[in-house]
Amino acid sequence: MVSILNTIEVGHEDVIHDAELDYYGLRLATCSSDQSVKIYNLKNGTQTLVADLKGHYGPVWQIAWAHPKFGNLLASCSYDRKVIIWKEINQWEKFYEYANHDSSVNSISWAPHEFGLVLACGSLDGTISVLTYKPEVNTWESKRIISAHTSGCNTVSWCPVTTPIDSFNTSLNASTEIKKRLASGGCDNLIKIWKEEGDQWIEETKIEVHSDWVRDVAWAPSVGLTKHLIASCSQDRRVIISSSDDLINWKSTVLNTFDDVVWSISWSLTANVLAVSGADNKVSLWKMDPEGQWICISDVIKGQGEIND
Amino acid sequence: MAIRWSSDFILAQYRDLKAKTISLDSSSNFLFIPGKNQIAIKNLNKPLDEIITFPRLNKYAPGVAAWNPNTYNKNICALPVSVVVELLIWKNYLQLCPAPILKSHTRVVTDINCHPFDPQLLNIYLIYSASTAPASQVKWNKISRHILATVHNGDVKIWDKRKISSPVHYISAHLTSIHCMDWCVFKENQFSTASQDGTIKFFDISNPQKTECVINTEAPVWKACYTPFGRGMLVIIIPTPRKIENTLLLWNLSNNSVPLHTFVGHSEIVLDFQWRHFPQNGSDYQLITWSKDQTRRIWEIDKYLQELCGTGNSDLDIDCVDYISEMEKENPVVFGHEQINISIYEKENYLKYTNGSTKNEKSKIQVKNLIRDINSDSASSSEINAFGKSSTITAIPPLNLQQEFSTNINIPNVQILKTDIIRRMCCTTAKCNGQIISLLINFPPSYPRNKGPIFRFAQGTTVSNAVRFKILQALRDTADFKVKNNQACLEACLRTLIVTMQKLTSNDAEKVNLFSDERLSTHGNSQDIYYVPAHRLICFVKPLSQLQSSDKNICGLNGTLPPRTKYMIRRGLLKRMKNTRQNKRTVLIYDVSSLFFLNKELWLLNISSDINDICKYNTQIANSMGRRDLQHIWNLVLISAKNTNTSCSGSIDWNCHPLAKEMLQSIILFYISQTDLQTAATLCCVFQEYLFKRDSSNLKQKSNKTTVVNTPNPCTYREWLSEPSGSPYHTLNPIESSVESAWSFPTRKHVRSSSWSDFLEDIKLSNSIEHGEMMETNDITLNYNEAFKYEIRALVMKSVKSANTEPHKGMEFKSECGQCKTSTFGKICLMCKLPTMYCVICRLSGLASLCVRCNHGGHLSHMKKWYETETFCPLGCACQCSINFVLTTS
Repeated sequence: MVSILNTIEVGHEDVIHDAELDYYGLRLATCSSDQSVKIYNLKNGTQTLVADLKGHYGPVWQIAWAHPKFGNLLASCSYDRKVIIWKEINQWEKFYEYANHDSSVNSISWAPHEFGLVLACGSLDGTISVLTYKPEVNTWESKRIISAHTSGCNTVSWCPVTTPIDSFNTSLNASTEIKKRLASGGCDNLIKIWKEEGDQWIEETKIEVHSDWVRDVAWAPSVGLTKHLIASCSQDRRVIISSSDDLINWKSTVLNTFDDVVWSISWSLTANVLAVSGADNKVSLWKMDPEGQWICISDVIKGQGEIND
Repeated sequence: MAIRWSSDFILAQYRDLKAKTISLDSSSNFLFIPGKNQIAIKNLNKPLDEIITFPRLNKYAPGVAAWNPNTYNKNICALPVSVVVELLIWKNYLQLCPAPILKSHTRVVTDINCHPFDPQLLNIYLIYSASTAPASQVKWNKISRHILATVHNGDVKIWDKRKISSPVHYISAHLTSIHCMDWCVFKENQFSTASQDGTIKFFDISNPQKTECVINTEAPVWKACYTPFGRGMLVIIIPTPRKIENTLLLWNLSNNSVPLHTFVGHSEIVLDFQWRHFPQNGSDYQLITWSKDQTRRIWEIDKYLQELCGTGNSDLDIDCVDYISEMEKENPVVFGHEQINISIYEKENYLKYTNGSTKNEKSKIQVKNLIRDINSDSASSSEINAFGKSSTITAIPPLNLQQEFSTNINIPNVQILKTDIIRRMCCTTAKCNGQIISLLINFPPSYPRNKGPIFRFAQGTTVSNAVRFKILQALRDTADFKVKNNQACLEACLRTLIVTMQKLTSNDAEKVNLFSDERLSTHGNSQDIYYVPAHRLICFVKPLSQLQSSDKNICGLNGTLPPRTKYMIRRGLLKRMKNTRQNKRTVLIYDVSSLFFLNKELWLLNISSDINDICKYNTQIANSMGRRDLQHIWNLVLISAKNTNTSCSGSIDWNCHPLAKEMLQSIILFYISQTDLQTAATLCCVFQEYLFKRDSSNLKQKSNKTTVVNTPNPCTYREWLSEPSGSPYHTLNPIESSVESAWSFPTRKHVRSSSWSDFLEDIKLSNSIEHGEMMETNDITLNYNEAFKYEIRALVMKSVKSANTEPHKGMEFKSECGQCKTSTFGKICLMCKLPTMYCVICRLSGLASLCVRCNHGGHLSHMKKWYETETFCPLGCACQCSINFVLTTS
């Protein structure tokens, strides 16, 4: 059913921390502990190196492509406390550098493109900064959420703009006005939902479900969904799906408890498949069946179960 | 004091000594055991003799004793007693006479070490007390005479005796204290440290920043010393409650995952050991151990064991090479490329090595070093972690080959015919679906440390070459996965063999894995995954197990350390990982489109045709795609559409059909709940024309009751279909936009119960947006569009109505009156009542064409005629109008 499209030998000299395809799926960006970010063009199963971006002085943890309507922009965050936004103007060059964090920047995420060019950065110093590009003056404006997570923020994820579809429920209508919202997870085992209220980012609610560091939080793309879904994974080896109709009250269910720490989760575009990867060296895909139960659709590989115990 | 003989060791028990250490004189004849109240000396050549004891006035047993290893002054041994060092002279093999006491220290002497070459220099460094931690150990380099090392908790300082003012190197070796440090006997610059953290690390002082390699024991290491032969290391580990026995282990340094040999016998921890060598009769070694159970054991280290440590001639290796070549001659079958490379590579090494051994000693050692370096390089990369403690909790001790062979492997249809521990190979057969596979598995000497076995098909294998290749690949993947984690892989490989065989030999294609490439699960270090919108799944392989272990560490340290520490640790590990380059960094991209409902073929929107045609066409496509459900749906829709057509001919909407609307609603809702946006969006696209037409007719009837809400951007339903007259339902004409601008919120409230638009609006949830239902269908389709990334964008966009953009109102000319220069929109200037636009040629009003630059123009026929011959404006304004004119008319 699933086939490999590309195997890309990236020329990194060290561990790859992140890889992301751009909006069209034609370019791949990777980042690594070797302090570099590389961009590849993918065509017909072959890849060509487009750019090797050097500017970080520490392992680069994460990269993120901006929506193409803003041009070819790539953001990267690193242990060196910096966030760099790269832009392709004939060739790739540094567009903006944000160095106001006091510690390693662990996670970055572009806001839905409807909000403009907005980047959220979660840092180990416990703060989240939201960088907004002002095209009129060609500057970046930053707002900080101070002490978002005590002892460090590990991940940030934006609330999608398209609100979920709930066919016959009209009671909520007026209240849900589209605001910038952000979910973050950190070393205080919490998932927090932030809302932009005027000039301020305020904590709207928090979800206390994990018993260890939250490693990744992913807000499901809401198209086709009847409610908001947030998936989170943690050092406590669990993946938890939290759902809410009103963004205030969240109901959490445990998707699964894995054998080892879960590192990363990712929703498919229609939010019907969740991919989970962790320290147990497995990637598993989960899908909700019509009864609302999550079932693993990839782990049942014959024979492999025995090999991997 | 009983002496017992045993088959493999000589045991003697000295209950009263309460010694902590032993020391051997240079001739290897006398064993010096400094006890609590007495000192004992044992003549090892006379095992039946009693020990000679000398009383001593000290209530503590010294932790260390050193007998001069040189032949000159060979009778002197040194014993630290508090702040002084006592020198004792062993006279005439009978007496132990005190010699001058060395007093130079102000604090307790913790260690002494005799210089291996210079008999005058007995022991210099005993305590180094400065601002840093005091030295706990001191060791002279065994090859270079000027170098010595001191140990300070977890750190090692390297000194040069000629320049004692400051250390040459300062190496932070461990986080916990180092129990034993030893210089390498064969490589001048190398030394090892054994620590409480359960690791033995190897350093090279020519590159002190780098840990050469690490042996991971599961318990704190008390002692780890190089063996005088080969490249072995004898290790004493401190027993844990979980593991009491087998504290004395022999390792081969080129295989640092599994101990080579375990010396079983002592019931308590071994405190000290000495090597006894007999230079006169060749290569025999004895190991003398002293245990806390106050027994002394002497172990014969036979030639075989020494060879296993990598000494002497390499019979085994040659054997292995022979065997491989033999095998290759026998079985010229398909091998994976990689495999051939490996075997050739190994062969080269072995051949070099064997050549070397025949030529001269030196080259042999070089080759050996080469091999060893290769091994240790890859070994260091396979190092599980630097903080052994946390990993020991989870680590399973790897089996050695012998154990692995001896475990009873019981897999149906698989038979192990023969195992050969010396040749390190085994022969198995598997039978499945009438096919037979005979497999020879050859285990390289370094197995299972990061090197998988080599698989060969033997004669009698009946499967085709293609199947062989696949099986080889599967086996190799399995083996790689296991050995990467330092686990034995035989059983797993055999299981893979039979499973793969079953899969490949059966014709049932249904059984093919979800991930046809098993790497996704076996490779498995992939830690990050991403969906990108075009339904591709990216996995990328974090090839090193270190990262996980680092994470474990971080996990373990969670909460107890300030946040930055986490990254310090991380960074430390990352640094270490930099040394490891054995793995290629790869990013895998999977096509997971089959997991989703989105399907390019199933995009069934054919806007320009009649709705019946769309339905029919879609039914066909769904049928050909095997989507029975869709086929059924489209059939249903077709029937209802037909009914609509016949019953309510012409412009009538679906309201007169009793069931169609509800049915469509529920169908769309169902597909939304199934996250099959494609179907939902397709239905929306196809049927939204009904919606809007009906809506507007409703509105027309009800507009008189409607409260007009000021809508900033009225919805214009300019062209529902790309073909204005193609559909019989196209009754709307653009002039009605005034009605539609009044078509607003309260109205919809009014018609809610029966309105399709309200259904969609409800879906939308956003009443605050005036054009909810529009938005909704648009949202669905737009998101769908996103998902497909423009592959069918044009088609989708045709049916998506722009709800929030300003409608195009047509062009209006703003002209300037030639007289009063006021601008006006009309044909006649409001001020001077003169026509603002007139033909510059005939001076009559009625403009057909004008120059955009000078604003002069005229009747089309006049202007055409003019510009046939002229290029400038007929009014003489010096504007080169012909260019603009041509442009505007073309």
